[in-house]
Amino acid sequence: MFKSLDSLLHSELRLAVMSILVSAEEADFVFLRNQTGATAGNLSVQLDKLQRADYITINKGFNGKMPRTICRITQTGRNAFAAYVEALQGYIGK
Amino acid sequence: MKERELNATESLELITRMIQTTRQQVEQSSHLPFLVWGYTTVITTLAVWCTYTLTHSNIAFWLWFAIPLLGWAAMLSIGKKDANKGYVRTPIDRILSYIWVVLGIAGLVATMASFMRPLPILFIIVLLMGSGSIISGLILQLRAITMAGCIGMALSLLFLLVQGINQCLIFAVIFMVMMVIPGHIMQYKHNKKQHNV
Repeated sequence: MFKSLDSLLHSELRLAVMSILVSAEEADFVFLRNQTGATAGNLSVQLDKLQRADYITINKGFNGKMPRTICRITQTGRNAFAAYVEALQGYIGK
Repeated sequence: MKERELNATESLELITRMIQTTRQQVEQSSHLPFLVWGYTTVITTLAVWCTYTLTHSNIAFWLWFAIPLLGWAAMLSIGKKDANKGYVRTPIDRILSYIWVVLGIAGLVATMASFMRPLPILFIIVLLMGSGSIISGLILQLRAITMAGCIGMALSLLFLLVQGINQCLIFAVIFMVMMVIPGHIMQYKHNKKQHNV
């Protein structure tokens, strides 16, 4: 029996963001946009969805005079990501 | 990248690719602190040596405080220049920054104490920074950094043979070996890896 895949993570951009945040402790909006190649608008929408699911936290602040949005993965997000990878391995292994 | 569903293989490939590129981005600038602090220390040390040799005035030793000032200014300037690359911090970055901040504070306290009581300050600084290099090399799994720290610590024994202001010259050589050369090795390795990709 295949485990069901988390629909929130089973999308290219959201999965890319979560993969970056799993390996990095924190990353800002500019870094995530550069790494994923997403548009600012789309990335904002997807980050908001991840935040509403409590998978990430978003802190808005300043770096000098420049605004900076920093994203961090939560423990809920880590657990969901681990469960997602485990489910994927089940699909590929069988 | 858009919001589209992936199959299982594509998902795992994406996860692997994102983790790898994040790691590469972090590695890309990991040599900079070694070069910035290494060159700042070497240049300031030679400035202290030149000033004292020419003037024989103890005022020359106040130049030591140029190291934290110039070092932080250079790091801030690099940070501003790289702002368009975005900001990312891994748990390893955090651990390394704690280690270097603690060692830096210890070095600053020892330097201030040496103005009040005679201390083998250059020997103490080399031991502190050598420890930092060895720990960093072990954490980052970079043999060049670990080896450079060990060589720096071994060279610190030269302070027993040389006395007076000429100890500054040994100090400068040790920082070239311990920080500047490994910094360039890291930069070369990273550039080579980027070229091969």
